[in-house]
Amino acid sequence: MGEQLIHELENRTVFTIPIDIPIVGPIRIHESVIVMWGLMAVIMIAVLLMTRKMSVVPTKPQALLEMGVKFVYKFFEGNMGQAGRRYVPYLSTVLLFMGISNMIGLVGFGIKPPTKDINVTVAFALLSIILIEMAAYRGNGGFKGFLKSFLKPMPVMLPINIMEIVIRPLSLCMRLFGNVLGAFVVMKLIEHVCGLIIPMVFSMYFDVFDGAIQAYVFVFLTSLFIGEGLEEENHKLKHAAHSK
Amino acid sequence: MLEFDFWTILFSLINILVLFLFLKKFLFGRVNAMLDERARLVQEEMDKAREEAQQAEKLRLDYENAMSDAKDEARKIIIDAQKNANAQSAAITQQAQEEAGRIVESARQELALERERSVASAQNEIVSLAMEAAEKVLGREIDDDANRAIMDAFLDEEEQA
Repeated sequence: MGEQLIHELENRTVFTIPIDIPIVGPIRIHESVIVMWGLMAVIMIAVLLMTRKMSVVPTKPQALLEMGVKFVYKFFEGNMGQAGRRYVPYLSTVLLFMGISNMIGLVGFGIKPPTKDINVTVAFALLSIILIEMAAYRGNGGFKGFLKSFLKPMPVMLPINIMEIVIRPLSLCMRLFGNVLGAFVVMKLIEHVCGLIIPMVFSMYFDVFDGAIQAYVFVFLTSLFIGEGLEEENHKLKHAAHSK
Repeated sequence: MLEFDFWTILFSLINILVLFLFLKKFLFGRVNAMLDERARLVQEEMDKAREEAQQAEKLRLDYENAMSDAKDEARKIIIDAQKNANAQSAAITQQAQEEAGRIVESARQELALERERSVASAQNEIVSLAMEAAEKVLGREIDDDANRAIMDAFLDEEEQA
């Protein structure tokens, strides 16, 4: 059983393109990347179908879609303020992609969630920290303001603020990876121990609930960090709106 | 389990970015464009409705003004007509009176003329009679013209007396 579990936990390389590139080696395509491609294809086709015939007077599916879009805008603007509006499409993409990735284990056929692969969560976290620092750069009005923001709220915080550049993506990436991997391991063990019905109940918690919560926590924290960097810009926007 | 793989990280990054760009264009782009379009349409409709209400109000005012103008005009026309009628009737009456006066006057003149003429003819008759009588009395013919002048002078004297 242990051996089987270890085998399941491995990030299998599905195929390798034998072009030897210095330092990083030949192009290896992991199982997680293949699953992501599949998910992307499904999402893209679904989106194209849903937005194909949009009209000013909405049909029921279109109204639902609009409601969803308005909801994510409202949710993220609550965390990031008016200035964070331009980051909503990216964060929504992450929420959708990560949420579906976390729950994909439900469909069976031996498909494993891509977020079980730490490399995938590293990619998500890298993009998050790049976006956070970009927002802070923009929100503080250029390089000088960006550097100054490291001395806030007081100069003593400088080392902690610098460390946060590493800590934030690390915690984002590890939390997601740990949760999905943990849920995966527990589910495999439960499936191994008992038959069919009981794993379904647990799967509701570990796959659906935990998967959704982790995706939510990831984008929530990212938007919160972005919002922190945008404080000054939001303040200015609010001021401008008031003085109007 | 915890081995990092450059290629997987790279492909994941690319996957996320590709999906992001796709959704931005085809989901958020389309939905937001549609929402903006709808907001624009609603705004347009509201503006149009407001404009139309203003126009209707303006039309109403115009109509009311026109109505009151028309009433004034009608009143003025009636007053003018009355004035005209009065003036005309006065003129006609005056004309008629003048005409009547003239007719009376001419009748009077004619009468006077007639009288004069009859007086003159009567005088002539009288003179002729007198001369005839005198002829008979005198038994001879009087020189007509000279005697007639004497008779006329006599009659004039009588008249003046």
